[in-house]
Amino acid sequence: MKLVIKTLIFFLICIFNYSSAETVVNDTTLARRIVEHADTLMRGTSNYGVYRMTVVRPDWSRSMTMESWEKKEADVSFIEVIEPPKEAGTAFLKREGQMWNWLPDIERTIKIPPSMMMDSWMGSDFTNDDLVHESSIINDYSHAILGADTLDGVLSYGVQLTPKPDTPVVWDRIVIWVGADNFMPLKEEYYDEKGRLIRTMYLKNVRKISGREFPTLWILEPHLKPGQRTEFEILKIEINVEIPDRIFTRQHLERSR
Amino acid sequence: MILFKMAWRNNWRHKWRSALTIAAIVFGLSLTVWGFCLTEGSHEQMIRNSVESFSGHIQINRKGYQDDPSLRKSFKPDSALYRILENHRPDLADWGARITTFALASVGETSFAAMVVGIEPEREARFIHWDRKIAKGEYLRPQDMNGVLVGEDLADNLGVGLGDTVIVVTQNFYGSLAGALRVVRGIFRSHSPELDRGGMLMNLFSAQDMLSMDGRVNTIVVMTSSGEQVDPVSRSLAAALQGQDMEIIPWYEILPDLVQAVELDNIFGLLTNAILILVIGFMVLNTFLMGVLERIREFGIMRSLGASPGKVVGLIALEAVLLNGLGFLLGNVIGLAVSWYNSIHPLDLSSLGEDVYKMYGVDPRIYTHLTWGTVFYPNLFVMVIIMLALIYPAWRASRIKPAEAVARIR
Repeated sequence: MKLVIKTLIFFLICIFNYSSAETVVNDTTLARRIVEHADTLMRGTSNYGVYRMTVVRPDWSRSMTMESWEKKEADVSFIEVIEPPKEAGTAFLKREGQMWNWLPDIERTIKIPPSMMMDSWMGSDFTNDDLVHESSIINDYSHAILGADTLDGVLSYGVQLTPKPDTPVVWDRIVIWVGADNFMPLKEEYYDEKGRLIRTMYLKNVRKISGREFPTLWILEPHLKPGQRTEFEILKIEINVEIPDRIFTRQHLERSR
Repeated sequence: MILFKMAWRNNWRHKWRSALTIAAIVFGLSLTVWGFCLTEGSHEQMIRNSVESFSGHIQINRKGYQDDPSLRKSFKPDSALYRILENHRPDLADWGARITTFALASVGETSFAAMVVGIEPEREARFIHWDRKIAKGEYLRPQDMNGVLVGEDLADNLGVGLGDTVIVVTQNFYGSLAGALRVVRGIFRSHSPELDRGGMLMNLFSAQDMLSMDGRVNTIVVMTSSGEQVDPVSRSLAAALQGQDMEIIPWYEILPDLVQAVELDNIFGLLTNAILILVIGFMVLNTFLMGVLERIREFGIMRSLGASPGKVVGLIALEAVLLNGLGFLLGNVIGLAVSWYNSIHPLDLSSLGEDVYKMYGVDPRIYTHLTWGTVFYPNLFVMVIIMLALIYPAWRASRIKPAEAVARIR
């Protein structure tokens, strides 16, 4: 009799576990479309923006203003620092999975070598790799819906991104939370291969900017480095604008400014 | 008194043997004293050369800088700190602020790793003497924003001469890539091969500008009036800067390799001297054992005439004291005289290969240095070994049985 009860409990536990695992809805097409949609909302096919990046450290913080151009299908982007004066004119060109850095003080271009890909980008909590590989969240990962939750009182869906086999990616798992009503991203969580939550990006302060709703404050928090964070304040954003191709060339990067 | 007379005469009975024993002690002791003085002197020179080539006697950093020498571990020196430094004169002889970072130095297509050091040129000229190390060109002018001094080998590798421009690329304080163009004003040759191979010196404010340091520095290099002042000044500075998140590091913690090299050299020196002293010990043992064994009959007669075994041992000990006393006296006089001479006129070893000495940052002319230790320890060691050598002969003499001894042919 005892054995029967034990077996019964064992089966019940199995079923319970199985059903909780089932909350991961394996509707990959839907999950993929949510990520695609969010990505389109944030970046469009092309975009132009002005941001203020603030790097916060326990004993100091520093702000820089920069202008950015991006064309998604061509996988190219161009960023130029406009403030502070000491750094003004510093520019980055991303093209064909590589990045070049123009340093006006020495009037030279430096190609960011593979060994520096994991180094900090401009002293922020972003790495050079973040900038170069940003567009691969759709093609390099498989997507699954993780479930629903309320974030800051907003119903949102979590989509889990796991890298496809043989894809050279940094993260073992990314979870993107999007608002249930508009699929606007609210939070992105990055996990390493040990399952640790390494960093979280919060997208906040949704306001009407350049004629559309947009999260205007992005905060990246590395969890292993207390007291550190990087904030992006979106001062201007134009999605799906016409950008001439010559912006994304070495000649433009190196033209005298 | 009679014992003294006997001991004196006994020593004179074998003039050659006594003279040879004395000579052995004189030779061994003077050589050991001189060796100790020479080792001490060369170590002091080694330390002074290293300290004066870059590190200084003491470095003041933000806490944790020695373990993680980054631009982040920096501080803004304020008037309170300057006042503390000034208050430590004259034991604290000089000081200067520095920034140290690593960079890529390029000319055309050629790039080499370099250590960029921002210095206060007038201050460091007083204690690191960079101005005397300029092989070509001129020393940094205090107001020179764009000038740089390049190590001889680095200049060769980059193929730059005076007036050429070097591109310096590095990370600034905030972690961004930063670059600067600097004009070669001079090429230096220091005692440090590492600096010659990778060193670039520029004005402190020039480095601060390149690295967006906003008045911050990594290090304040302190030179004390003498090596003996390092510990007291370190302690006093540490007390004055307590609770300010600063660390005060004496040279022996900055240059642990040098300390180890000195210790290793001390061990080798001690081994060599130990062998020498041991040989002397055996010579003395030989002399005295022979002296006892050939005089067994004589000691037997002494005993028969009523001398106690203690008297016999006393006689032998007195003979030894007379003989060795003379040896010690002469040994110390000669050893000290030679050491003193070499403390003024250095021992020149440059003919044995200048390159080797240059490699280790050592001057081939070695000055001896006399201290209490360099005289006391050789004397102590020789004394101990002679005492050990005397134990067996004295023990043999004390065991003599008068009847047996007198009955011996000799």
